[in-house]
Amino acid sequence: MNMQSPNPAFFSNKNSRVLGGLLVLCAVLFLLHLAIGAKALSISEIWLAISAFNSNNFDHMIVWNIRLPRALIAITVGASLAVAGAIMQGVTKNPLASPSILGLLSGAAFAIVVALGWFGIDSPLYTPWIAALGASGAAIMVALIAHAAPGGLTTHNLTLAGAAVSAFLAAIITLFQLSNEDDFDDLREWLSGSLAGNNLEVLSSIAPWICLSLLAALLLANKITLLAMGDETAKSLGVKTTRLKLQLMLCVIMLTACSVALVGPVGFIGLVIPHVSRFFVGADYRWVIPISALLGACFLLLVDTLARVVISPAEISTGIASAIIGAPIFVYLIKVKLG
Amino acid sequence: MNLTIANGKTSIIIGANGCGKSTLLKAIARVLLPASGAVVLDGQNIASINTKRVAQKLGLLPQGPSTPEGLTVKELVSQGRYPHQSFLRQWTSADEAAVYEAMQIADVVQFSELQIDGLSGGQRQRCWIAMVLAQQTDFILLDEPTTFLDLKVQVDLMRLLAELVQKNNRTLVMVLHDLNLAAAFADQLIMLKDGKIMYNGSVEKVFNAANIKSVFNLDVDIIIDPRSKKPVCLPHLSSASVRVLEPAL
Repeated sequence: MNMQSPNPAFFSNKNSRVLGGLLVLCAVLFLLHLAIGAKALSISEIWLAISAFNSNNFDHMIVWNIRLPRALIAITVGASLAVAGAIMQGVTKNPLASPSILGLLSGAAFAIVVALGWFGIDSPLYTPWIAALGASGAAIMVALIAHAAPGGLTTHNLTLAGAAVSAFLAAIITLFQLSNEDDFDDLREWLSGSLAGNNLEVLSSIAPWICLSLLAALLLANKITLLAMGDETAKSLGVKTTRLKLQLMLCVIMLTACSVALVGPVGFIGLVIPHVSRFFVGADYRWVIPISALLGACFLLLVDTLARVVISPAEISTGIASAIIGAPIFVYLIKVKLG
Repeated sequence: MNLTIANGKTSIIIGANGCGKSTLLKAIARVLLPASGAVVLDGQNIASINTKRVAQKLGLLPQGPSTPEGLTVKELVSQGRYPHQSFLRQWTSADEAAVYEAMQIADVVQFSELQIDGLSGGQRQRCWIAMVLAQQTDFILLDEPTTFLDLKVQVDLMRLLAELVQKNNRTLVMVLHDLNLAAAFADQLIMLKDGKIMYNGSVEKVFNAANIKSVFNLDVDIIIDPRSKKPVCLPHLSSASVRVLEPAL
């Protein structure tokens, strides 16, 4: 057989163009998010506010105190939840896996509600860790229930157990809420997923953990593809599967917990964005992870912009808006893909 | 159990369902660790060798591997290069050459941009074999690579594997269900029963009616295929059907 070497185009990849396009889109949406709102600002004003901040200028205050934190939070949370969902879908080989379906979001939200309602803890220094505790607890509970079910840790059992745990915790949260209306007034908005009311300090205390987890996810991305090909294949290719799964689990819990601590449980992104990413770049996780991060960021920036303008001066909770806007997109994608 | 695999040959493990064929193969591949005893690779206990080093020596194609939806053939075959990469040594032209060569040998270059889940069973299996070939290991372990394939595709696949041993000097160890396919292609035939090696040797030596009766509890006649000069076993079908029919009469 003639072993000619491949021509240079054989290993070229069109995915880098998708990545570049998304970067540009993300930047545009970021600027739009800053410009659009109750008071419209021009791009040049935004640029001045960022480059030459003047504390007496009301517009500059809007940019720094309200819109910039909110836009940055939209980017970090969108990216975090999308990457968490992508990792979970790859590792469990389950297209339905996501922080919401497998109970992590409700677990994190439940822990924060309990910490606030019973112990009065609401410092942004602690909330990510409380959320992480809740997410881990829910994850362990889901795994134990699935393990005890006939067949063990199968895709079906995990999904069912996750749905059950989610529904159960959500019901308890609602009970808390109904029995204690006054205290829960502030929480109610947070529980429906809200990007409002956070400042740069809260974000900067949580951002390092998110950056660390996203970086880890990027570095482990090539191994996720191997895991998605089955444990035995991954092992025979030299992957230490147990250690890798623990590392990835830790990543997912940190990303979910930080997101919940920032904006409350926003469910749709972790489920849908990874699917949209694979629609564009296939199943190689070296691409799926960064593309998911960018798509998640773009999606939440867009949704949050719309959530603020559609019924302005009032605004829709971002969690609700993301489902209202995301669901039709998802259905459309399924339709395109199936035929 | 004591088993030595010959270098540069095809060793085939056969035995009844649940006798431990796959378990044995996985233990050799270091996917399962034996409760006692050891697998020795080039004089070293395989459990003590670095995981990636093992993967550079020894490739495994598990039974019915799962293909992630949306992965292209080229991407799948490229995964075989993982053991040769590290944080400092990312994708190189040597990796590209290895992937391309593996795809040529397994004859899947024409599918390179297609998604695995859209291919037929035989094509898919060839892609997986290309993935293991791209790993460039001396030893290749295959767990029932021909299951669920048409007879022609089975024969084509076995020919491809036999060529690997002859031309590329690889060592093949595989589990097979089809006794005649095993007899036709094995240099070393290993017959397993209840987790123990019953017979181990060349096809001429161990592939006979008495051994098959004791391992599979199956009455067979052995004839010699006039074309290939290899032994072929024919189960006693007529006597079996008579036994089933008698009570009805």
